[in-house]
Amino acid sequence: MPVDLSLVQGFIYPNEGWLQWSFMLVIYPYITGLVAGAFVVSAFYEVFGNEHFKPVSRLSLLCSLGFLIVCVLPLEFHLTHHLRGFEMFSTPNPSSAMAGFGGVYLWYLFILVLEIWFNFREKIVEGAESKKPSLRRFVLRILTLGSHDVSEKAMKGVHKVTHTLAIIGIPSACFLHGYVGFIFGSIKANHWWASALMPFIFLLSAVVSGVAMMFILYWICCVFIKKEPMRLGTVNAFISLLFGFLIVDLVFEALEVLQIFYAHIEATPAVAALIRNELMGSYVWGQAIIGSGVPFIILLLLVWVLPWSKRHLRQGLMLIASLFVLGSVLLMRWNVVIGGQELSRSLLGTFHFSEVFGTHEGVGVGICLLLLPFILMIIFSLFLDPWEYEKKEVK
Amino acid sequence: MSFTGRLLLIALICVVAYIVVKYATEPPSFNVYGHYRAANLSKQLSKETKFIGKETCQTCHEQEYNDLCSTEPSSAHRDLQCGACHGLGVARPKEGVILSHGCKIPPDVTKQCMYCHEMLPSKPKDMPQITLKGENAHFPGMTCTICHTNTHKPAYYK
Ligand code: HEC
Ligand code: HEC
Ligand code: HEC
Ligand code: HEC
Repeated sequence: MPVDLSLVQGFIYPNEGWLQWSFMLVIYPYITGLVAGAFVVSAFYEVFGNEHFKPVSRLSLLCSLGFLIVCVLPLEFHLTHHLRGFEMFSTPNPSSAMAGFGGVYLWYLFILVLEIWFNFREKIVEGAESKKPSLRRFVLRILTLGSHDVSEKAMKGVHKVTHTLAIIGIPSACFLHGYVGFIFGSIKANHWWASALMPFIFLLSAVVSGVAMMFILYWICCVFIKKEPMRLGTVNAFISLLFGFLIVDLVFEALEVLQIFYAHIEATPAVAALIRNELMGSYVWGQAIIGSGVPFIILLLLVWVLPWSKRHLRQGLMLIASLFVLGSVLLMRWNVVIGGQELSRSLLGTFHFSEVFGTHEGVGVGICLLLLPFILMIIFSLFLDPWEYEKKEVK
Repeated sequence: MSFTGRLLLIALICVVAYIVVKYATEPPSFNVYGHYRAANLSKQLSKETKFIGKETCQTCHEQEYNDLCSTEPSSAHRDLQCGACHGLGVARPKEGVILSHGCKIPPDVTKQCMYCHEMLPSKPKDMPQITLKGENAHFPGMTCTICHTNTHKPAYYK
């Protein structure tokens, strides 16, 4: 591949003239983050019993599954030999952090599918016993595994398992996304990545983005699908949850940059140049000032200045804040993945990455992949009906 | 059989299927030396290495090649490859024919010259070095090509 010298600032090594990881690797941590974030939202009801999250609890589970199924597709598209992706499982490599993700992924998929299966057990049996033959009944009949036993005794066991799985699910979901941060954070040669705080900022931003997305979905469901008012309690719970995680997330992001500047003293001028030359728009303005500043101020207003405000105002402002948060987290993934590769290992220059639209790794495919989880979620909800639902107490 | 019993049966089937698929798809020479296919080594070794040197560029850029490599009088840059300044800009040559070439005139000539000619104590003494800063600055602020008009043949040996 020819190196376009007009994209080079300063000195780079010959093999740094193009980026190995492009848009697909940006949305891969974004999607995994939403998996973890959505699960955390559902856990607030399933495990911690916060009633306010009841309306979105089951939806979050389905959403999490939709994103989980899609989250490996960007990696598949990134490969030139697509089928080789499965060799990660057929020849597992214990000394590769990247290949280890396969194991972490499978474990979480296993937990999540089981959790959904047990959680929806009653719905599945109810649908399987419906009188009218339909595709839904057919699929649900398979999912019952031929046992329609929903007696009180049987369900007691099911609820116990559901609760246990939800508890196991929290560390699993956090590990799934913390692991992605760990992969980046342990690349010692890259000064923009090598930080022990990487797993934390990945995890926290994941929760933040998951909460924001679930709020937006809740808003869409209430306004367009169910046509009922949003519950003020739920809106408020979302506001405090988002605000709390956002504060901690921003603190850790700031600490991470500080730590890179201070601990990697030999790279400080290079990293500063990277931020100045390449990441001014997407990092300083996009992620930090607009993407995080605006929602922070909105949430601060909601919590501090306008705690008395009406539901309509609160949900509107919260919707804006959520949209900004989602954008800012996407930019954060971009800044980590693309920014880290734009910095030359020589510490003497940067290479500017210009995005392409059309290729199998382009933005076009990326946008489709970002929409796919929602389509999957809609299909799942048609079959599993996540709406009216009351958690059973486990004694 | 109870619901959980059936679930466990499915899990067992999955595990067995995985083991079967794993051993069925694993290449025969895998893990002989390490976590890779040993047969791949000989395949890679049998590949021909191709270097697109200045002789390839000569076929179309006779003038530049002659300047760069002239011996009478000798060009100072005669040992350089074209790619050193223009980028290794040859994409996928097929049977010696260049289908597309991304070689560019360096956008900032002065910067390009300074990559090699910047004064550095660690460089060999016989490498001609200049600096654009300080007392002995070599015409700072001027583009090198104003004076060294032919960059391919910048100066002559005695
Ligand atoms: C098949 C013939 C061919 C070969 C081989 C070839 N070039 Fe070219 N080169 C061209 C043509 C045609 C142009 C376009 C001339 C023009 O646009 O005026 C060109 C233009 C250039 C330019 C000027 C580009 C510009 O921005 O104006 C450079 C520099 C160059 N070639 C370098 C090289 C180098 C270095 C090699 C060897 C790796 C090489 N060329 C091999 C045909 C060739
Ligand atoms: C020392 C660096 C250097 C090397 C080595 C070098 N060039 Fe150039 N070349 C330049 C620069 C700088 C220019 C632009 C000259 C200018 O702006 O006046 C240039 C211009 C050119 C042009 C465009 C000429 C024009 O008038 O449009 C071609 C073609 C070219 N070089 C081909 C080659 C080929 C072929 C080789 C190898 C045989 C080569 N160059 C080696 C630095 C180099
Ligand atoms: C790829 C590295 C490289 C680049 C880029 C390069 N040069 Fe050189 N240049 C050399 C080397 C090496 C020599 C010394 C060759 C020798 O002495 O055998 C040299 C020699 C020279 C000399 C001759 C010095 C003498 O003592 O005779 C001049 C003048 C010169 N370069 C000017 C330039 C200019 C002007 C440019 C920018 C267009 C440039 N060089 C770009 C590597 C480079
Ligand atoms: C005003 C005209 C002028 C400009 C502009 C100019 N040079 Fe020179 N350069 C000369 C002359 C004259 C000599 C020979 C003087 C000498 O041998 O000390 C020379 C010598 C050199 C040498 C050989 C030094 C040595 O120690 O043998 C190099 C290398 C060189 N120039 C590179 C450059 C580069 C790179 C640039 C652009 C940043 C540049 N020159 C700009 C006029 C110029």
